[in-house]
Amino acid sequence: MSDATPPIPQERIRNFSIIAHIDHGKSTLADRLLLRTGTITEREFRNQMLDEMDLEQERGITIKAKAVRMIHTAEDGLTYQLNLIDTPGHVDFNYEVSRSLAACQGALLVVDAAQGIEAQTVANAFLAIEHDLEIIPVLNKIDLPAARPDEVKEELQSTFGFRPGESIAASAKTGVGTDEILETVVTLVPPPTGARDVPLRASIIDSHYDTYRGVIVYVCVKEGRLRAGDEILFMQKQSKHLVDEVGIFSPGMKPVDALEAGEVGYIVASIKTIHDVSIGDTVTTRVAGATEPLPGFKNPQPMVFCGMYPADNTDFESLRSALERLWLNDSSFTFQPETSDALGFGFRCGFLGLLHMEITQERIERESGLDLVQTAPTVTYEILRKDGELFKIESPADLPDAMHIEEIREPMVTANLIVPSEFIGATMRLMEEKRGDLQKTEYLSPTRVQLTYEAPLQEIIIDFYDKLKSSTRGYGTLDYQFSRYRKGDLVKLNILVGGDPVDALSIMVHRSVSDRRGRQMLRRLKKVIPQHLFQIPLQAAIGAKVIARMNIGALSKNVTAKCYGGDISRKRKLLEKQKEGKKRMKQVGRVNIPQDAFMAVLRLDDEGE
Amino acid sequence: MKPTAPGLYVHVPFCTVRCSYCDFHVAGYRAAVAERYVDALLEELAALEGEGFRPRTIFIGGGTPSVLPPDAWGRLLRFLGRAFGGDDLEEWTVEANPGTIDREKAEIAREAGVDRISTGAQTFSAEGLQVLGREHGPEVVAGAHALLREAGFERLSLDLIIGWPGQTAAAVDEDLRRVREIDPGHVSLYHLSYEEGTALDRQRRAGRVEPLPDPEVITLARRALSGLREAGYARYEVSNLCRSGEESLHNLNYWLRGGYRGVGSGAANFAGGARWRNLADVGAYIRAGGRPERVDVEEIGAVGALEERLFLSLRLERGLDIAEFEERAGASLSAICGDAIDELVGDGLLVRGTDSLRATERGFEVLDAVILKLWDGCDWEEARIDGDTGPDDASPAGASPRLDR
Ligand SMILES: Nc1nc2c(ncn2[C@@H]2O[C@H](COP(=O)(O)OP(=O)(O)OP(=O)(O)O)[C@@H](O)[C@H]2O)c(=O)[nH]1
Ligand code: SF4
Ligand SMILES: [Mg+2]
Repeated sequence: MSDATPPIPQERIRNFSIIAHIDHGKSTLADRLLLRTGTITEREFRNQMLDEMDLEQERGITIKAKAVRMIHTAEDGLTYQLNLIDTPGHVDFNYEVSRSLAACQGALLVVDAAQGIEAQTVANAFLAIEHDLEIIPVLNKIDLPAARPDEVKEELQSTFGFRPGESIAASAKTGVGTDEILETVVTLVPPPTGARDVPLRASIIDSHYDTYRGVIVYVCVKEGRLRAGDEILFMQKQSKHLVDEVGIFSPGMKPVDALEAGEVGYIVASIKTIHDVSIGDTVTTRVAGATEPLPGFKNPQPMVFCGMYPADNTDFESLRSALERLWLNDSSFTFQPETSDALGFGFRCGFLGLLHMEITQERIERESGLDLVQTAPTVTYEILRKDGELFKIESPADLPDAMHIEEIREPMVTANLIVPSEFIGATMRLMEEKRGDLQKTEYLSPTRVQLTYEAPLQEIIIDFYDKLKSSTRGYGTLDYQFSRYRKGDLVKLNILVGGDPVDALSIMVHRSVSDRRGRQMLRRLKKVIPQHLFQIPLQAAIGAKVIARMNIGALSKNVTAKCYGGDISRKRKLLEKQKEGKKRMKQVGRVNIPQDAFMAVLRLDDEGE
Repeated sequence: MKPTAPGLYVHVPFCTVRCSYCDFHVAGYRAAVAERYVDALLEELAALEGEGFRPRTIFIGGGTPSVLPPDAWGRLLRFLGRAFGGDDLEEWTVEANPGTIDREKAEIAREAGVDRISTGAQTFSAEGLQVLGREHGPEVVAGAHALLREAGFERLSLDLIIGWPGQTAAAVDEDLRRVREIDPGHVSLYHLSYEEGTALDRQRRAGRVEPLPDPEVITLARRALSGLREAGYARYEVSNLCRSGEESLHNLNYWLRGGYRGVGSGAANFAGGARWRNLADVGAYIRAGGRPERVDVEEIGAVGALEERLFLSLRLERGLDIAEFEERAGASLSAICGDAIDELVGDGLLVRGTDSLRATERGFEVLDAVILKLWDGCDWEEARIDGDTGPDDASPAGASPRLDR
């Protein structure tokens, strides 16, 4: 297990990912495998061990894929190196799954035996099929009384063609099936094939920043070998480094002598600037290195954008470095500086979905200690100008004047919904409300249906998930991929506070819902903006036309009656504290808007209607 | 008469029962503790006398000073009378709660030289007294005032609380009727507030009492205010009204930023450019034997002094004396906070005359927010400050504090 053990020949290496729909038990199964192979002891163990981030543990979800090396003696008496990658299930983190699969030859397709096949089961299984991997279906949670393994086997057969005998019944909770899984991995998953005695080619799959050791780069070695003391070259960045240490995850970082073709591990090379590193780059040796880089990853295209501003404007540079640091560990979000009248200097950030946005914001706040103000999320729109120019906007603020616009096109997705057949009606009604067009209906089993829609991304990411859950009593699941930009009747909704437009509160909406959205936003603002010494008119407008209005009444009472001698110091302190509080609000005209207001309008449910 | 002169505050932090809204520094009353507390007070007062301190006003507040047993009450008052009762003394107030003052204590006070008594009536509604957690019933107040008049007190004040849960216009009218009947020279009108840690606030959180909405409180407050005005009282400070010439000199001194010394546990002091308090801990105070620990010591500084002047004077009906302020600031008021003033004047919350800057009727209702706005809008870069930061009176040399840090 350490660098002292003799090297394991390549034919006894197995690289596999664990993939599944959210919460079907991937991380718990990984725990089980780690324990069973003795990679971790009972004493070191904690639930969902590989969910290392506090955020992952708190939310009970995996955000980042995690690789771990296990050493296992199989029934044939031989010792194998098993490299497992636990992947996230949420649709926003789908690219993590693709990237993990690229480093593997096999995949455990975990399916909750009670829930059956759900939307990300389908999406992830097809990804594995595309990568040409050996797929081992695992029916997890068979300990549950509600488990219905036979029906789920039938779903697996009708959806992917797996024969009933191929799947392993298991419980990551009780340990049933663990040995069978390990044995099947050993016998079915092929070893990696990259040659070891050729020039090094390793692809950078991830990285993180360590205050003491600089950027730590995670690599998957495709060909050749990598060891401490090597002088390496990042082929795309053309930056050179001396390797101080190479190692593996087990699950903590553990130094080894060398990383061989087919192995995943890390490099420490005193890399001080994050600009030297780019995910997908190829690592080779400076001397006698490879000439052709490996095919890079195609970075996922962010589709959801929002503004992120430091609550305190003087923190702009700190926010920039926090974003750069986080980007090392998650290159799937984008950021570029923008300014807002209301919020000052900040960044327009792109994400793969709302959960990704939320998680990223929380990670930045935690990892940097900064307080952030975030604006309402928007999707990208394609604008066709009257003069024929076609371009994309990532912020409603960038929308040209109406007179120049020929067409506004919005991103459409292909959405796959898997629902129990009794909820077809409810689901269809929901999708109609969300401007979706039904394209296909497929029965996975007599009781479960997959509905395929084309729908606007905007409708699918904002305020959709909860509605789907309530329309299907919690059973409906969704997966989607971008399909195309389509012309839509879209308008920009402006919010005016005290008569002044607040750029950071503008949103793009479909004309048919603009009135309702406008009223909702005003109601929200009314709740979060404190009363002032004067009445504050709130308006929602499209162009010059006001479509909704509301007032925040003037403060009626605010006076400390008693102020005897001793209270003077206390009163001063109170005033100073209030003054500080005021500083953290954003000023628009004469109105102080608390930071929460910009977030409050994010939630667009129908509350109060 | 100088507008300001040093005052002396004496804190007696004992109450038999704690009112539901009270967040003052108060301890449960126990006769033995109270006796020893008075011993310590006398020591601290003796030291102050030794410094040569001579107040123009004395105010004994609490707590409930009148809860002291006759012996301790007598010792305290007689000492004060002997030490500070000379020609300099213009006003001497004692707070008394109806129900704890009796003929004997009233006579002792009168003889010692006390000339003004302030009583906490709060309301004459039985229901109100109950929510407020007051011990006395509605009838006791009139009795107490009659007794005090008989004992020879001409200057009487009465506190009312406005906005208690369940208060109605009729309840306000009843309070007004009783006030007219009792006819004190001075009335304080406080808005009820729900301070953290009080019983009332816990009840509010638990949903057991329902606070009146702010607009309703304001409606009631306006009714009370106009009723009192009809009865011949005029407001001179945001929450204080009186008949002509009946202002509390002691309190006025606070608002005019005069100096004062405070003795007793938790008492606040302002002298020689610094503010501080005695540590608020009755046990520690007794053990310290007249040399209590000073805490929250704060040098106000030149800007702080001007800020204080601004916010304290706006509490007064007469407002800020612009000429005087500008002289101290070495700059015009407009240069310092003209924009904020213009806005507040525009919103009908302040009026700016040639001599003074004052809150309007509406401005008084939201005074804290007005002050915050002004305070926030001040640009002190403009001020040419001459470094005079002390109280506005020249405190007698002996009264300047030795700051025990
Ligand atoms: N009863 C039972 N519960 C299980 C089993 N496996 C996992 N769970 C529970 O299912 C929940 C989800 O488990 P995770 O391992 O976090 O699921 P995941 O697939 O990693 O979830 P994501 O990473 O968010 O996609 C947890 O509450 C687990 O305790 C099982 O075999 N039986
Ligand atoms: S009498 Fe005054 S000090 Fe005593 S508890 Fe009541 S409010 Fe507080
Ligand atoms: Mg997981």
